[in-house]
Amino acid sequence: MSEPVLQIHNLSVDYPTHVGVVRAVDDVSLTVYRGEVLGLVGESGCGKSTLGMAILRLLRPPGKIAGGEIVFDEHNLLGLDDEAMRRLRGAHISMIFQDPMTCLNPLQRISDHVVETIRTHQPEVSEQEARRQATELIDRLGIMAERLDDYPHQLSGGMRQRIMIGLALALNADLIIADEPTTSLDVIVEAQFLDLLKDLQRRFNLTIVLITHNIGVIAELSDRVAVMYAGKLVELADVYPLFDDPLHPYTRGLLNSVPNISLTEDHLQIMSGSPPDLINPPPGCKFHPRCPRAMDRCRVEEPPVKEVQPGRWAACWLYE
Amino acid sequence: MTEQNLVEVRGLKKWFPVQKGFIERLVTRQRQFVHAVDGVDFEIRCGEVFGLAGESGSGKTTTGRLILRLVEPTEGSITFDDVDLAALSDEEMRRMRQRMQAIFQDPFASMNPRMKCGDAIGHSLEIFDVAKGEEKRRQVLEMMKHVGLTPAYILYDKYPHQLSGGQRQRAVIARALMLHPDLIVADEPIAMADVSVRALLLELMLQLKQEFNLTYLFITHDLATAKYICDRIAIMYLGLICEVGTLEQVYRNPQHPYTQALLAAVPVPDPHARRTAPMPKGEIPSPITPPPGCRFHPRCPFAEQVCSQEPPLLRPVPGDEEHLVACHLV
Amino acid sequence: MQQAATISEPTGLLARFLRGRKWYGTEWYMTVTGGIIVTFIVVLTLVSFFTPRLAPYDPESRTGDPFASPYAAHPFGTDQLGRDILSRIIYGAQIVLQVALLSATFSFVVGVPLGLLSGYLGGRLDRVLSLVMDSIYAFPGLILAIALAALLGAGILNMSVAIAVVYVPIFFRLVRGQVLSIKEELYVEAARSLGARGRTILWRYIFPNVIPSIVVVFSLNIADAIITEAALAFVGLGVDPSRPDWGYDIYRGRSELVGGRWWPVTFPGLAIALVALGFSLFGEGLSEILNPRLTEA
Repeated sequence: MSEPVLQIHNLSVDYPTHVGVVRAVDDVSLTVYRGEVLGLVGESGCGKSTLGMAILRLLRPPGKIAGGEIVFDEHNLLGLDDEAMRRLRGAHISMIFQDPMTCLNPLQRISDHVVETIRTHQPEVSEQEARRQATELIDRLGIMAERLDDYPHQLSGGMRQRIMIGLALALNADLIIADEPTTSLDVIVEAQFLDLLKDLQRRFNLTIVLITHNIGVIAELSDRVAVMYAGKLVELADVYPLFDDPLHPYTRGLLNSVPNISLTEDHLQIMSGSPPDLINPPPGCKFHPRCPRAMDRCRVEEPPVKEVQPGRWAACWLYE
Repeated sequence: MTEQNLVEVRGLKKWFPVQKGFIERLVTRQRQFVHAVDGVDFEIRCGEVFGLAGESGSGKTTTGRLILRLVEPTEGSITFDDVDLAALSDEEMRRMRQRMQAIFQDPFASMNPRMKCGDAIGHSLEIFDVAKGEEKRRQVLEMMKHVGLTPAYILYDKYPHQLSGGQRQRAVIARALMLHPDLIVADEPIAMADVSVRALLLELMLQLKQEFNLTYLFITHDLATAKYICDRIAIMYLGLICEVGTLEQVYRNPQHPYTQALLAAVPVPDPHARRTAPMPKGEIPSPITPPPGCRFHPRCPFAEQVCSQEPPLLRPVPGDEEHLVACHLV
Repeated sequence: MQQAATISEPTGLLARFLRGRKWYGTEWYMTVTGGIIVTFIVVLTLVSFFTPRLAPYDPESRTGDPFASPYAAHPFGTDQLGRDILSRIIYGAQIVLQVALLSATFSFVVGVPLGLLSGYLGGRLDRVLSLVMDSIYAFPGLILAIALAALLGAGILNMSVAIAVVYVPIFFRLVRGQVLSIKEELYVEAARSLGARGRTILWRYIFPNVIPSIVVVFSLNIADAIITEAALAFVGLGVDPSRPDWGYDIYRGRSELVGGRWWPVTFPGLAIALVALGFSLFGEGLSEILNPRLTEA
């Protein structure tokens, strides 16, 4: 097992609203190791995006961090001042979002943007050298060199996402957080992008936290998978064991309710109910109202995350 | 209406004029069009779930709106239960709408924010003088219970922003069913629902189809979902149908290279089934100037000379009358 | 993917007071519009009723020494004819409010339906109306009001019409713009697919969603009309020189400033400013209640 790049300890994030406090992330602990793709999966409202934003301290007010620590490169990110955080973003921890259009300056050509990014974080590099690096990068991304001088609106969604990855690469980011990177892309473009990501990840030993609700994408790309529900981490395992034999009933239900195009006979299991109200969550285990295996204890006490088997964690009383 | 076709579409085209700047218009003196739908033929049989699948720019959503005559076709004919829709006057078409209803992609955006849920669902009853007042309320409550929108008498008075996503989804389904239509055009009906709720909604739709004797036109970009619910499916690319057939035929034996690529591209929720086949290069070209000949030829790994010259016609696959493909190589 | 919406907390005092009421749908606008109309009628009636009782003196007769600076008997001082300024302010409110409310109502009644029809139907009607409205709008407002007032002559009704004409384009443009954008919304298309007729769509789907902005503008319109009315009176085109009018009083009092007599001008001026401000704030507060910001959870 390689070294840890990011360690999250007992992180909680709150959103105060006028009807109560929404605990979007509830006491989550995770470690991301160098060179791995950690898939963070869950439905909307489970807290996965919030967690991603919290790492880079990009929470939109009124969201605020309510506890815990995030350790990166031996520093607790939550204790850094704004300037230090700014230097960290992009250069060490990079983030790509669902809609790349909003991340690229519409008035700046792509080439200029990349060159500027490179030179901001590596001021000793000359203009020519930066341009050469940019051209090489674009090429590696599978984008034709003549597109380099285009403006963002002239590129398609897929190409813009590639540029975003390219920027992260250009800066040799230690960690890339990808929040729903393919959700807005067409199916074939999505596949192309995933291929690119796989290739780049292998070649440059990238460390990626992949946040998505798309189970297929998780299965395609992840080495390990963390499943979140209602702000809590409910299961964490390597991708193969997780899919072959999910421990947590929510994971099981989720995997069974997703249509699988490669299967001959597809019987979707229906999960009753819907994700809980985070302002007044159910007592005990938040999944118990929907759980087919709920026991009395589940309605009362919240199960902690435990290492049920080596390398497999789950928060469920079934494994006590 | 047993083995007939409920809907027949022939040569359907819809071209949207491109808005150009004033100066540009003066200088180029040319009108450009987005070829959203460019000559489409198909039938929807009574009682089936007919899928229309494709990526963005394929024209599937526009086709759905054309069938409902929410936009006027540039060319072509649409026949609904042997009635030529284009020949109807505005008022006649309006009354025809009792028999064909729509479920749109975004339930939040498709509900009037200033109308109570119950009123929104039951509005069609008022529009066509079927029921009003207490009777309307009674019928709406019953339909709400039917689609699982409970407790109905409480949710009736709520506004869309007070409902959860799943509830809104059910509300728009209930709204479409109030007049017991024959055809429902569902445009990505579950795309915006939570993953764990989608299966439930699909089940609901199938159940309602049985109960109310419905026919669905199911428009989607998600081939995995389509496989679960459709009986027959047509794959669209850049305004044209490239393949159509039953589920078995299209999924088990895809003939068109685009269909093959599409099926291969869908991420499978199983790490053992990770994709190894390469994807076609490039992206969907602009629908303003589609490629000549076969529209897919610039990206097709099997393209030949003829593909860039002549557009292929939709023809049956040898040995399988029902399975049609538009490809020179078949 | 999924968006759940919560209404954010309205922050105005009045808004918080009304928070408990679930006003949002078609009934609310009828309630609110009705409420506003009733309020205005009540205010006007009260003003008419109380003015004689509140005002210490008859505003038209000499009750003190000319140009007496403010003191106990005349808290706002007297003007050059010895008339009590406080009484003149109180009585002046009648005219000002009547004209302002009347003109805002005229503008509303003319501008809103035209804007609805123009935006919804489009075509030639829209082009013609837009041309007319833009022409009126392009004219400097005050000058147009002056010209019209001069043309129509004195009197509350004439003055209201003169001011109203200036503001009709504002309602028209606002409503037309809103209709154009709401027309493209998915719920309008959904209504069409349900089989709703054009007028049903306009009345139940488009109009209710346009109302919130109209009500706010109505209130701001009143504030503006107050100032315009005062301006017209200032240039001598007021309602009736024999009745107390704030703008007219400023006109007559302005030459006295040089001599150090500040009160004939200041108090009417303050009155204009405060009442206009009051209506503006009312409009803002109304905006808070009627336009709850929908945030995504």
